Order: sequence, then C-alpha cells, then structure tokens
Amino acid sequence: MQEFVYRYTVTFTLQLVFCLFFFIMNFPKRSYFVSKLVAGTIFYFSIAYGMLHLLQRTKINFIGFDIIYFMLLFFMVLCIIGLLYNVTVKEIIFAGIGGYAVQHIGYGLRNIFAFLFQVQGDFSLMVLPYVAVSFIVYFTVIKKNNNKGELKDKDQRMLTLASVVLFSNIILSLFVDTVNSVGVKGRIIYSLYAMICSALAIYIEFNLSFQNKLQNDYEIMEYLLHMKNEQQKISKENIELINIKCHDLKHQITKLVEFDNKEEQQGFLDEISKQISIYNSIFTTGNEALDLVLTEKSLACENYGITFSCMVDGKSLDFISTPDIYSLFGNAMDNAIEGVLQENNKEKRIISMKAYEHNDMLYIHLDNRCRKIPDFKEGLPLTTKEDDSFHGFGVKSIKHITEKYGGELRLSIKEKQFHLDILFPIQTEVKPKTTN
Amino acid sequence: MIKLCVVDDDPKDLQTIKAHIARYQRQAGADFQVAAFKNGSEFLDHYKTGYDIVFLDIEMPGLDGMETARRLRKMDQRIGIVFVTNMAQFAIKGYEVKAVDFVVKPLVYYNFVDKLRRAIEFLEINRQKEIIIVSGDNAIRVPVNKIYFIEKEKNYIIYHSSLGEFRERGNMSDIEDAFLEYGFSKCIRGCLVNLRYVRKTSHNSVWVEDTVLPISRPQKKIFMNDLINYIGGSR
Repeated sequence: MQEFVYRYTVTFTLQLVFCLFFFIMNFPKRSYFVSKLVAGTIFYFSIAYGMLHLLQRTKINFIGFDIIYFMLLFFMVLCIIGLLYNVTVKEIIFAGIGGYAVQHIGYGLRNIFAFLFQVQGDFSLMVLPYVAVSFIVYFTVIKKNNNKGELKDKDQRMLTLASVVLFSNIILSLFVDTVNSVGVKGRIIYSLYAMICSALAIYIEFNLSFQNKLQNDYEIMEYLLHMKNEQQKISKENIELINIKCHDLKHQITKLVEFDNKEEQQGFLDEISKQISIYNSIFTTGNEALDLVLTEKSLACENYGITFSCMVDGKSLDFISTPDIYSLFGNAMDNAIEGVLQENNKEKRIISMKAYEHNDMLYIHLDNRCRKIPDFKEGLPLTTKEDDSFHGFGVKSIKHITEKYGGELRLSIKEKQFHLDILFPIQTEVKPKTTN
Repeated sequence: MIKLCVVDDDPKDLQTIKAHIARYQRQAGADFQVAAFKNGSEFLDHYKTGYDIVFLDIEMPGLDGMETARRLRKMDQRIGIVFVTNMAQFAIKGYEVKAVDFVVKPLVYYNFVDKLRRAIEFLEINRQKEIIIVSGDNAIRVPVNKIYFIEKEKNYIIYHSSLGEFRERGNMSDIEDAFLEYGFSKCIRGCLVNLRYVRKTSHNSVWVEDTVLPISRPQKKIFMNDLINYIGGSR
C-alpha cells in the first residue's frame, strides 16, 4: 500500500458519492438526516484510515488488500445510504452499482486522457471526467427511466449479473494498475474495456426495469381481457335471469283473468309490482356512478340470496372520478360477494356498506361474512382461489385507487367477518362535474 | 345498566327484537332495561332523555323512522340510533341523523347482536369522563372529550383543550394507558391525540382541530388503525 492511497481514499470517496448522487436524489430521507450524515462520515473515514494504518503495519504487499479495501469503502457507502434514506436494500444496491459503474467509467476516461497526454495528478482530471460521465448517464438513462414509473421489485438475478460484470472488471482493473509491465497502449485498451463493462452493467440495470414493465403491461392486458370475459358472463347471467322472470310474469298475468274478486286481483297485482320493482334502479345514494354499480351488483345479490344494504352519503363521493368509483366499489363488492358465497346458510349471507363524511374525511366501510379466513401479506389478503391466475388484482386495484386520492386502506378480519375500511382526506378544491 | 328502546309497528318484529335482546342479555350477562313502542309519535311523546340506544323501524305508518329520528335528534344528541329496515336494496340516509348502524329484516340473531354490540361500544366511547389535572397549586377538572391532544415537554405533560392549555408535572407513561382507553391514540412518541378531534390525515401528518401534528413511521399503522376503528364505530 502506498502513501497516495490515503489521498486517493478521499478523492475516490468524493467521486463515488458524486456519481451516486443522481441515483439517490429522489430517495426519501430519514429523520435526523444531517446528524446521521456527519456521524456516518466521521465513522467512515475513521474505519478507512484505521484499516489503511493496519495494512501498512503488516508490510505485506498483497494485491488482494487493495481489492478488499475498495470493496470495504463501497460497502460502507452503501450502509451510510441505508442509514440516511428510507429505501429497500435492493434499491440501495441498484443505486450502488449504478454509482460505482459511473465512477468506473469516469476512471477509465481519466486514465485514457492521462495516458494519451502524459499528465498525472492534474486536479481537473480528478474531477471533470467523473462530472461529465455523471451528467451524461443522468440525461441519457436515469431521467428517461424515472418517467417510466418506479418499479420497486428489481429482479435479483439482473442485479447479480450487473454486479458480477462490474466488480469483475473493477477487480481486474485494480490488478492491472499494480502491474508495471503493462505499457501505455495496454493501459488505454484496458481503460476502454473498463468503460464498456461499466456501461454494460448500467444498461443491464436499467434494462431489467424496462423488461419488468413490459411483463407488467402484458399481465395487465391479459387481466383486462379476462375481466371483459367475466363481464360478458355476468351480462349473460343477468339477461337469463330477467328472461326467466319475464316468463314467470307472463304466466302470472294470464292467470290474473281467473281472479273474480277485485281485492284478490289487486293483491296479486301488488305482488307482481313488487317483483318488477326489484329490477329498477332503486339505489339513490346521491352519486350516479355508485347507484349504477350497486344496481348491477344487487342483481347478483338477488340471485345468490345475499342480503345487501347500504348507508351511503353519495355526495361525499363526488371527488372520486366515475371510472374510479366503478372500479373501487365494483371490486369491493365482487370480493364481498365471493366471500359471502362460502356461507351455505343463506341467512348468513350479509353484506353491509357505509360511506359518509366525518370531519374532513370520507369514511368507507364494507363488511361481509366469510368462513374461510385468507392469509395476509403486507396488509393485503392472498387469494384462496386456486385456478385463477389473476390473484388479488381486484384488491391491488382498490389499493391503487385509495393511494391515488391520498387515502388509507385497511383490510382486516374480525370474528369471521371481512372488513374493508378506507379513509380519504376530502379534497378541498371542488372538481368541476363532467357529464360522463 | 343500559337503557334500550324499540320502536316498531309490527308486533311480531317487536317481539323478535325483544327476544334477541333477552337472549344476548343471558349470553353476555349484560344489564339491560328495555322499553317498547308501537309507533314514532308514541315514542316521541313518552320520550325521556336517559335512553341509551333506540332500535328504530324505518317503515312505519304515520311518522316514519327517518322523521322520528330527526325529531329525536333535536331533543337528544347523545342517544345511539340503530335503524331497522325492511328494504335491503334501499340506500338509507342514516348518516343525516348520525345513526350508529342499521339492521335489515328478517332480524337474524347473529347480525342483530353484531349491531347491538357496536351500538354499546359507541356508547362506551362517548360516555362523559373527567380527569383532574394538578397544575401548580390548582386542581382542575376537565372533561376528557374536551381535550384535543396531549403532549410531553421535558418533565411536564401539556393538555391542549377547548378550555385552554394545562400543564402538569408527570410522565406520559403514567397517563398513556388510561387515555388509550378514552379514545386517544399516539401519533408520535410523546403525543396523544383525541381521535374525536382528528379533522384529516396525510401520509405523515394529522390535523387535530387547528393544529397539525406529525405521525411517525413506527406509529402510523397503529394510529390509522385506531382512527378507522373510532370512525367506524363512532356514528
């Protein structure tokens, strides 16, 4: 280990941190950020210099020490990021690989200039290549991918691949650096190679996000097609139901003539009237979209002997867009109906819904009896269906809409009852009503 | 002892509800006093404040359930109203009179008991409780439901209420358990919020009347859970 390593530690750290910047700039900060940063920095340099001092004393000139040293520095930087920002380990690794790759490209660039123009230790060489590469990578890669939406589920295999590509190159570079017999040409060539490998590592990292997104798009398309199919099935069932009812009604009307007594006739007509009225849109919650959803679902409830009732202040739902109402309540009702169908005893097939304003919040509640209690993961129930490959999309959709309006979702089980609760802050700006 | 009222024009339904209440009373060992009325006007005429919960049939001739409830509310803000309805598919405007809940006929025991229990919980939460704050040389009585939030400052506990601010020497840990029973919840270490006064929340803050307080990450799940439970059972 040479003397210059002490100085280089500082420059390397600063370069690495700068290159990491664009990867971590949108990370949410934890509390006590500044004090943690100061403490972390002090700790970092103490360990770094402590280790250097230790290695100096051993007087062994083993190349492996260099490698271990830089890996240690890198690892400590990642730990500090974890300390300062509220993100998952995968996201830290993702940023770490990206940042180190950028730094390594800068390093390669610096070497090429140094060896081509025979300059060493120039201050601008310590800074410019790294700044330049950081900005280039930011504008060509990072910025573009930020707009495509964040995918927190980064594929572990791709991260592993990217890190293997990157670190094998970094380690080999360290070896080459210490071997004196490599000439200027050799150094320029391996610097180019270093840049290419690092760029490849970055490409792998970001490409995997893209791949994931495509996979997601495909899954969503399949889900939509599946839903369309389900809708058709329901429509078909509804039409059949109505056909049967009409058929019965026809019979009943012809029978009407057989009644001699006016009173009996009237009684009979009242019965028929009642039967027909079930199919009117008799939900008047004050929100047209919700009325539509509930009317549609009430047909299914009627069919399966489910008692459904609701206490809903429709006007408090006005800030939610019509498609979101269809989706939110449609999915919630579908889940409730499915849950309640597990009850063989029709008396226990009960679904209740409440929605009203409470102070400046909108409270939505839906409960249904369910015999089979699902397992929960991250607050969402895992589907108990085996054949359906569209696990939990309905629930994910509810969660998505809840988050869209800044609300909180809670799904829970209380004594064989499944509860869905949502709290929305009521939007202060009134959205203009559009005719849908 | 809890005083219950049942108002229903159908004598059979009246009998059913009374039977369910009696059955629950035996099973849970509860202490109830039940009064029954045949219609809305009779109920309102004989109405005395001091009734805790009323099961009100919506479809009644003459004065229907909703109208009875509206007039009742003008006289009594405290009483818990549970609507009993025949028409499963009708959306009930129970929120207008701050009804606790609603039951649908036919009156199945399981469902009925569920709503009865919720109504009793609602009662418990809204019972008037007072605490005594020792501030300097004075001992001050403050009703719990007038306290907005409580915070810790060094060795003192500060009560923020509609009657003003009161300081008392002490530790949060001494009073925490009691206040959690009174419908308070911890939004962040050293701060208890009366859920009654929560106006709204965002992902990291809660608006308590005119004050904005932070919600810490570790407390968020528990706090939102308590808040949802409160709102869900409080009407």
